Amino acid sequence: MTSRAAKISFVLSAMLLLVAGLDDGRVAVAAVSDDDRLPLAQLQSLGHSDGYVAKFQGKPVLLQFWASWCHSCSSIMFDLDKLLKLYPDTDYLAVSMDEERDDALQYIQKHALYKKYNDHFFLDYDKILATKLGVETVPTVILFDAERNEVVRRSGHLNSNDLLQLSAGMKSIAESHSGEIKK
Amino acid sequence: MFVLLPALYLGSLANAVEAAEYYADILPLVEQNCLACHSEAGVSFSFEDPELTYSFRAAMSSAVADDRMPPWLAQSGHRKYVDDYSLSAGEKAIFADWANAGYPRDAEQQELHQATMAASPPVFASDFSVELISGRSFLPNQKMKDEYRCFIIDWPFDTDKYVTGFKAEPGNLRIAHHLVNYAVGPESADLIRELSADEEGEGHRCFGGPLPDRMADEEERAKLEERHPGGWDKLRRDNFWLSHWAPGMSGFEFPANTGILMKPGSVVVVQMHYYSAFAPGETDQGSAMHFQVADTVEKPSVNFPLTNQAWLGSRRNKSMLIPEGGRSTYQFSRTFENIRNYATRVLQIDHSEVAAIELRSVNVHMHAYGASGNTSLIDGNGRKQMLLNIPRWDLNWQRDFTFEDAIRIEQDEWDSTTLVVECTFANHTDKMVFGGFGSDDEMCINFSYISLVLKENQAVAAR
Repeated sequence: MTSRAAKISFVLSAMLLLVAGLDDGRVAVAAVSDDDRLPLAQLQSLGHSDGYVAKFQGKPVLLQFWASWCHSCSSIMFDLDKLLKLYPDTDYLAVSMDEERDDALQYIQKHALYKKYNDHFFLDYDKILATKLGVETVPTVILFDAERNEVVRRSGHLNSNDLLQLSAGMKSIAESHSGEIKK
Repeated sequence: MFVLLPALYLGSLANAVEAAEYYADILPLVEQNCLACHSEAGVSFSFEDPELTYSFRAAMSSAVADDRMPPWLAQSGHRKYVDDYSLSAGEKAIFADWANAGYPRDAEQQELHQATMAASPPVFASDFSVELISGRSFLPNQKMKDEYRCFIIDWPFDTDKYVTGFKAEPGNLRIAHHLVNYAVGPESADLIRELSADEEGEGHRCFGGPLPDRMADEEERAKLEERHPGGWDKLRRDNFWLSHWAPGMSGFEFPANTGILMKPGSVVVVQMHYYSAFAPGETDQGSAMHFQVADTVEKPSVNFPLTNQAWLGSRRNKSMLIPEGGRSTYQFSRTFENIRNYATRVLQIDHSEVAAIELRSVNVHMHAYGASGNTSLIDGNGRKQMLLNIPRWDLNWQRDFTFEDAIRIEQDEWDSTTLVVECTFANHTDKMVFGGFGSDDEMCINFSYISLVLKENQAVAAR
């Protein structure tokens, strides 16, 4: 099977199976969505839990693109960690833009907070997700609501204004979600 | 047809001429504006290999378009600053054109590009050099992305000296983000030594300036007051910004004929900003500080701190509050008469000796909740002159902005001309943020380098 055919086959399988782990650690993310909101993509797990992404379904997602050479990426992890504690119903997905898988793996082992979220780390296979989402730089942080609608996107080092917008988005999603549960 | 073809040809030629290409147009800008930090000897990943640098093309163009890189916080169009390494509108347009054209890459140029920022720095003749934590090492707190740690240097001279230049050589550029030197006067030197020695490990934690973070706690201050009545107030007033270093800076001399007075028995508190988030586990093996001094200067100078001291006690007096999930703006101003009074007190010069004041620099200092800020001058007719506008504050890239041309305020303008600092904060947390010294507190300060022009223009000899 050619590489391209393998990819197509994989995408189709993922759409049918919703979420599926592959032998080499690749998994599909957001397989429930086949539109452009949070596009179907092929991600390679940098952690060890193939089934992790299944937990995203029906939950808001904080998606962070990062790279092992990126200073700001490692710094904003401290801020994202606090926000994720504040809004525990939001899931977190960190997608490496590294060219080499080993660069990403080695850096994760050096950084305590990266290790903490180890299961949430993936490599963007062929940069498909980044391309579909129009991500050109790291860090880029995108918040999706439970229906996969993009709510907030910030690129570059996050300052207080960026964090306020992000936390306001997470709060708004959490409040609307809690309203739906009450109904 | 015969008319149209040449027209089309000329049109395509014009496009070809205008299209920016990598080696011819982009790489020279990268070399001139980025290599001081983005190099093996710098603080961030290297742009020294042109082919590898090309792989960052999209990220680089995006950072330039958003004014994130080079990290120069000042909005253009207000004043000309010394060492301004921001890109001009024309240079940014070259990046934008290049990105729009799909990042075209021409053939490699053979001539050696000169990296202006990375070129050999001018020789810096030091009169006093010292290495911090010499022979030991310091590991920043690994549970925080940043640590601000202060180390004390005994000022060695037994007569008055004017500091006229400074150079820093941080021990580990992968974790040394920037540093600020504060002078603490002889009457408070023992106090700061005592407070620093009370903390475990090398130096003391000092996010908000030269004083220990723990002094934000009223109980800690009460304990100090028991041992040294009036000590806290004295210490708080008896320190000032002396010099600083940020990535890309080499040794530099203060503006010509100026210097900052250091009294015998003073200490220098070096506030190191360690940025461990990127390089966990790495230590500082010893950073070197070099000072140039003079016995006399024509225009004695100070770094004037423009801030509302009450803000530092906001937990008690509620003078600076930033509500959870909200934004707040605070402003403070002082007349040049106030500034003259401060400068003459620090420099121990009689008021009557001062003929004029020269305003040479501005900055804005906030902490992590800072969103934007500015410093302006308002004259006696209420006209506002923006001196520095920072539309997007970033704690990581704070620095001093020295004017190419000083602003001279004459004696008859001192009481009607004011210097104003304004800070806007954004609080993303679920807790109220207060003004104060701690890392979770906020500040709004402008430090301005102020030179006194003395009557008869006499150089001030060390006294």
